Amino acid sequence: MISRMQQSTIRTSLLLLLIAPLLTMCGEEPDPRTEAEKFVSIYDNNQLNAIYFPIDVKQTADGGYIILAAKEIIAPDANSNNPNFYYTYIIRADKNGNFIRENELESNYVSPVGDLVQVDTTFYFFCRDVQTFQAKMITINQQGNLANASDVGVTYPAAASSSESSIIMMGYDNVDRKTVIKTLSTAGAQLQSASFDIGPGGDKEVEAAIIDHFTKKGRRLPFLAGRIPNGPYYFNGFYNYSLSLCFTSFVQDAPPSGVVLGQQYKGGVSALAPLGNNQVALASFNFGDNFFLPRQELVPSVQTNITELNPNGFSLPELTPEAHVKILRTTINEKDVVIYASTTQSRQIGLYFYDASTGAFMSSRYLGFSNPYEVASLTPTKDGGLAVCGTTYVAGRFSRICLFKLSKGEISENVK
Amino acid sequence: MKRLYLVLLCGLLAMNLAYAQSNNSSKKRKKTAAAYNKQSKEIEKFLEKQWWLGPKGGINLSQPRVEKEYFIMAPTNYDPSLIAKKYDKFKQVGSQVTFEISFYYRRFSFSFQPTYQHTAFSYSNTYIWQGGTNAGQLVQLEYEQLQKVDHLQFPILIKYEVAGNRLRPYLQAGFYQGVLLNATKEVTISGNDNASGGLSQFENEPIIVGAKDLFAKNHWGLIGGAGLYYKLGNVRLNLDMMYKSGMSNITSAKNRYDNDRLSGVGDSMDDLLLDNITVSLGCLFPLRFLENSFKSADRKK
Repeated sequence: MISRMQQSTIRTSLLLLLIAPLLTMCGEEPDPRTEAEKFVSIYDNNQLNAIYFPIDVKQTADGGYIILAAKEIIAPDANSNNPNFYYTYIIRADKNGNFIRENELESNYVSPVGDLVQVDTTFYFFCRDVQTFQAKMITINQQGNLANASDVGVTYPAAASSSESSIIMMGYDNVDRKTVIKTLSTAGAQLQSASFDIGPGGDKEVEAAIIDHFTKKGRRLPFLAGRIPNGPYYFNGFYNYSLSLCFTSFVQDAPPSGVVLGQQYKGGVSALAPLGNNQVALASFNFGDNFFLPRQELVPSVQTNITELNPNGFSLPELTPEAHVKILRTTINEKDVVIYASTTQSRQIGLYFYDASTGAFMSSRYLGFSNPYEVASLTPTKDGGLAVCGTTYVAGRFSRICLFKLSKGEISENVK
Repeated sequence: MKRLYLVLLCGLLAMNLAYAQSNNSSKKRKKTAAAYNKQSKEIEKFLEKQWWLGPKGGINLSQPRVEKEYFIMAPTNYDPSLIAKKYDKFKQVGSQVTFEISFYYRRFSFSFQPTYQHTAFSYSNTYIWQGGTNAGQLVQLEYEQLQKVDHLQFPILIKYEVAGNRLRPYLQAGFYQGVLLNATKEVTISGNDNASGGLSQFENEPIIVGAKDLFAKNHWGLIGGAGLYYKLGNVRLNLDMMYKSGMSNITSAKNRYDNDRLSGVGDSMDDLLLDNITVSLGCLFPLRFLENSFKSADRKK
């Protein structure tokens, strides 16, 4: 027998049980404003024989993305007189990574190279004229459409970046067998130029390596061009028969002011980001091995060999041999951070976060599972996040461009 | 299968209790009949109200309604509708177990039914690559995606008993709040590969991942339905049918791309509302019977 008091208690408890879910009644409604914070996109083409080779990504003024890539359609009848080139291919995506349009530039603009340089609201990159081998500076607008193409006066463009409002490019002169570095105005006019002998063997083995790099049928060489802020210019190219990091101030006919000599093209610098005060974040390779040197002193007048620097770094056996590496210096959670992006042996994109002021390792993050993924480039986004562009092999076989957008919250977890 | 056993076990238990109470009540029939005669007015008044408690369990079928589609694969040279997800309608069987608490008053019942519900739904999409260097070269991949989601639901219902005495049909309406307990996703990739010189059909081992983060922690919906009570001694056997219409997104927009293994194969969840048909069998026991000498069964008309 239950007393009236007990009965009352039971009723009250039951009523509370009924009311409790009412108080918490809710659902998680999607917020369209947050869709751009994080996404993954794979840009697919249903042609079996289409091959894509992403190069660089930049964010546009409206929060969308422009991806510079090379595209090849396999041609079984290609020969040395009629080779099959990688054409210049641009994807424009919206802020959520949704495909807006593709733009395949004229078929005579081949072998595009990065970086995709941004000066104000306009983007620039270099490619090669299929007939003349001459480098072209291509200007594209915010929509990814061709705005201008100007001759640069060198063959085989290899790398580009910007310094304030000028554009730095490095190329290979296949006539004089020289590595050439230039600064250009945004209109394509030459501002400064210097050239350097690639040294003995330049007409054979080195040139063969360069040709393989451009046709993407051989090893991808880590050509670089840039400037130490308020300091000398640098390039990572062939000099003295080796893939070397050279510093120059464009003094006519003078050798580089500083050199980090590689070992032919078996060892050398694979990526670099200046940190100031003669410090750089460096990545290097040596006979297949990879090293990260997140805070390395490098005076622009240095005369050294890459094998003397490698012991200062961290070896990364998890990366593919002679891995493609990109380094981004950025600020996350008010911390000065250096992010290394590369491709792992398991074909994932690895992101490695280091404290730029100390070189201390902070954390790592891996992108891409199930299918193979390879990194191409990364860029900071206006919302404090990170966009990472790469190649994935859909169904394990079709190379397609992929874009990862990481939110500010996600990458903040990497720099706690 | 284990859940079905559990439901059957609950049903058998309810039947056993009902039978025991029936025997017990028959022995006391004469005694309580006298009490009924003496206190008929009190009985009438007393039986206007009743608390009913009891378990029920059964099966459910689900159909998602797409609020907004999301793709990882972004076609550049073909129509995105060609790779759109195709959802199966009320195909996958789930199960549920409920403990019902109802307060009856003059044919109306106010019912609270906390439920453990296991739901399954599936979709598929197809990708085709063709146009190689030889005519007829083609690769076709079929992605079958099976979602299994466990929710704790808190339905609140108003029931109206339409008519009858021993057999009492009723209508019901209400709403529910769902709380996510667990979720898994299973992706099976199969296809035809006619790109390497001949036709090869294949099916890969499924990718099975925990997917709790991909679903919303809470969601809610509306309920409509009907059922039947069958008086057996002092208890009620219950056949219950509900249509649950989801009113809020069951997927997590925030974590849509959080599962790297699924993102890697190009899968992202759409914004979904989940509709659900449930059929349950149960047994209800009177609560007020415990403190009175009255029969718990409804008064005779």
